[in-house]
Amino acid sequence: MGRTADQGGRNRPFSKGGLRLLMILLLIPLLGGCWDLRELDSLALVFGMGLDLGPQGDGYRLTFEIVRARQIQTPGPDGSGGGGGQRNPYWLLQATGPTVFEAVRNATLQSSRRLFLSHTQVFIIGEELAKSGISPTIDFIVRVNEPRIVKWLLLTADEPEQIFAAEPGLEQITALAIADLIQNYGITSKIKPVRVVDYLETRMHKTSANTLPIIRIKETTGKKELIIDRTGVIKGDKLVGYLDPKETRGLLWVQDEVDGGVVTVDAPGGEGKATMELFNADTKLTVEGNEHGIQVRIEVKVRSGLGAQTTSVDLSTTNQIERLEKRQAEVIREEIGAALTKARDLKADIFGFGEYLYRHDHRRWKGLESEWERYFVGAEVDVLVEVMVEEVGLITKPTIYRAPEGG
Amino acid sequence: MIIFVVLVFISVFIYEAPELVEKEYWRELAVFTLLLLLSLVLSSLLVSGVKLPYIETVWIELGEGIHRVIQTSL
Amino acid sequence: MDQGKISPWQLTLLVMSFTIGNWIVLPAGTEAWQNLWLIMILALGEGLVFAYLSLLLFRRFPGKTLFEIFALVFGSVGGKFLSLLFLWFFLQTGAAALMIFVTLLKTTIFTATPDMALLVPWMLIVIYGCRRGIEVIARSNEPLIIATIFLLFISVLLVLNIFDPANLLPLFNLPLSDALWISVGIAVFPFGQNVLFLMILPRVNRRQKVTGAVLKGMIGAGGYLLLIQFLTVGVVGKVGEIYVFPSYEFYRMIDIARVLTRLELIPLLNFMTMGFIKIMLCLYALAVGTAQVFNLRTYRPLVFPLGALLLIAAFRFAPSISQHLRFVEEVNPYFGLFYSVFLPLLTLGVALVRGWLRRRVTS
Repeated sequence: MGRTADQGGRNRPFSKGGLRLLMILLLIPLLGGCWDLRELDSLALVFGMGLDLGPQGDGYRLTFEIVRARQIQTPGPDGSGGGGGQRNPYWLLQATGPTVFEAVRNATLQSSRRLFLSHTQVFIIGEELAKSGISPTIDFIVRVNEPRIVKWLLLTADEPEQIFAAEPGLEQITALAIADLIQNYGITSKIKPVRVVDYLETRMHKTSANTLPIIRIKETTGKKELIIDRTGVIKGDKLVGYLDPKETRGLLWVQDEVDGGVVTVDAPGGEGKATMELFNADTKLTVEGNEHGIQVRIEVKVRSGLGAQTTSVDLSTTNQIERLEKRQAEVIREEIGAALTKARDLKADIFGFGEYLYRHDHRRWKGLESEWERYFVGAEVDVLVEVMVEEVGLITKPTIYRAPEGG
Repeated sequence: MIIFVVLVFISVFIYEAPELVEKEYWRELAVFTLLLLLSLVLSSLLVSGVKLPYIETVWIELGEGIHRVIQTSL
Repeated sequence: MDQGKISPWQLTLLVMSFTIGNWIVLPAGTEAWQNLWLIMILALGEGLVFAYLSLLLFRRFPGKTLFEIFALVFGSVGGKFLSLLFLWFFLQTGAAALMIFVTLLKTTIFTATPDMALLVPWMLIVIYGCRRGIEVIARSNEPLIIATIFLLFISVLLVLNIFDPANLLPLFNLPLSDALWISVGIAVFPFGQNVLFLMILPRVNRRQKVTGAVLKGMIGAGGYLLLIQFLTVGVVGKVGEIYVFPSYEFYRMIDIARVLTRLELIPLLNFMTMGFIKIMLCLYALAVGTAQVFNLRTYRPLVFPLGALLLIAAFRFAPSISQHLRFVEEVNPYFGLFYSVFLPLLTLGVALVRGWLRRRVTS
């Protein structure tokens, strides 16, 4: 064994090159490319997907917003739109089916091209469907390799197709407009953006309740425009209630997801309001529990600045700033309180207190898990808000400032 | 399909065998031919649609069998 | 027989690639999820102990492959029998890697491509590499493993913005017995599969460095897999538990300013390169082993028929990925314990007893 070093391939009766050539020829048809080769011009690029209950109350009715790539043009210098911009830049396609997957395939009965879901930016679920359960709906989105789970999930009380047919504002494609709308949530912090994966994550914690932003149509001057101004509360996979923008921000405060936004307070020492801009907010949540109940501590630290005032009083003095800070803290506490009250009414742990306890004290958690609803409703919640007003903008005294008489 | 498989195996034989014959590696030639025939038979069965057992299924069923035997004997 | 020589450093890299192999996309023990990386530390420790014991065999019989050691310890017939058992192990290990390779590609990017079209060219390259000998395998491994490690460091940077440490909690929320069982499962797969290297160690040019080289490779691979698991938990969170290929999902979630997205090619690339080396090593061990069982002078002509067998085994390995997951969970630990712990230890024990007896007789 191992005595002869055979180098292989010497003294062959026929040439090695010929065999290599044969091998290469054999490989050519196999390495030619993917089997299911799909070129852009044979695909229907779906940017938005709407999911709703089927016509007879069972199955699904899907709406696809498909981009007509050729119609997307930057307007020419005369503002009329270059090239062939006569047709709508998107095409709404509807299909029904007993499952989402079959509905997606059925859509191809009407589409000349195969639907391609990889670029879907938003998934909009009708409220009717949300009331009967969301997980069965998004199973397809998670299971199949085309749609991406880091895209946005929304609810709507209107028909999803109307949402996609609404005015996309500055954009050309409604779905992209909606995605941008959500992404800019930090400007107000009154929307809680939820990705498909976030929904699943919360869903996997038995006691946590989900929230989803709700988009609706707002008619202004005869035009249908889009607005997101409510949040749906989803408990055990079903839509059970709503949060208004104030409550939504309360939720965001607790979850440390406030990114910015403004808080309006009654101006101290005078009529009128002052609006503060939030620069930075940081929340520390702690949940402790024992068999008698749970204690929640929410510590919010906010840095803000004066952004506008409607009173003539000078708010930039140390004294006034201190009062502004106090009032602002009061407003934030109120927002958190409102969210808490709503969540308690719905018995839905939208804040993830249970999740926190599970993560930090899973032994204790095991004892409380089965009756979490009761513990959640009876939770003792301490809210501590610390506000620092650090800036007053470019001016100190208000624009309608009048110097005190004789000064 | 089977013809294609047989052709591939024959060409491999033509590629390998002469060198072995030349060096008088008879033992090697025998083992090589045996293995080649074995995989030729198996791959012909595979491409002609015969349901060969799944390796894992065999193991899992074996494991379950052992488990049952242990349980009944206890 | 193969006369190629590899250096201890190349051996280390080979051990790394082989261990990373298919685990990178399909980890076992995912029920432990956020505890998995901790369990992996434990498993790496166990795996190192097992590997060290197996390496004692090589120290006692330097320059001999596992099959030659079997023949020396158990005599011709017993040695052949154990060798055949091990040939099956090499076949099954390679077939599993090949099967996962196809399944992953089929569920992710090549959804409509027939298995044959993916496997046959792949196998041809593997066969080609195998015929060239261990030296070529080791050299082609070098750039591949370096690229794989490099991509890991890149991905650490890419996920900094979406890594959520809260996902790593709670730790230790799993009964100790479960954790230990999972750790044993991981200690034998992937770490224990390194028993295959007992067929390759005689090809290393500096024998005294072999033990250190193998252990270093295992530690390197362990660290790599641990980091991947750690990042996956932190990024994907609890949802990762329901995925068949969690690390693939982890790369899909990377999103840097909406520009750097869709990086799922990275795990595919990692797996294709590491799986390539793993399959190639399995085929190599299979061919060299068969040659030794039949006392042949060359293993080269056997590579193609054995490669074809490997391919068939991969086709008929598992009816579905879910059954494979069940197999990994329920059967594989016993399987691995038998091959990477019991058999080497048995051989070592018998060898020691025999040596002791012989010494008593002669003295």
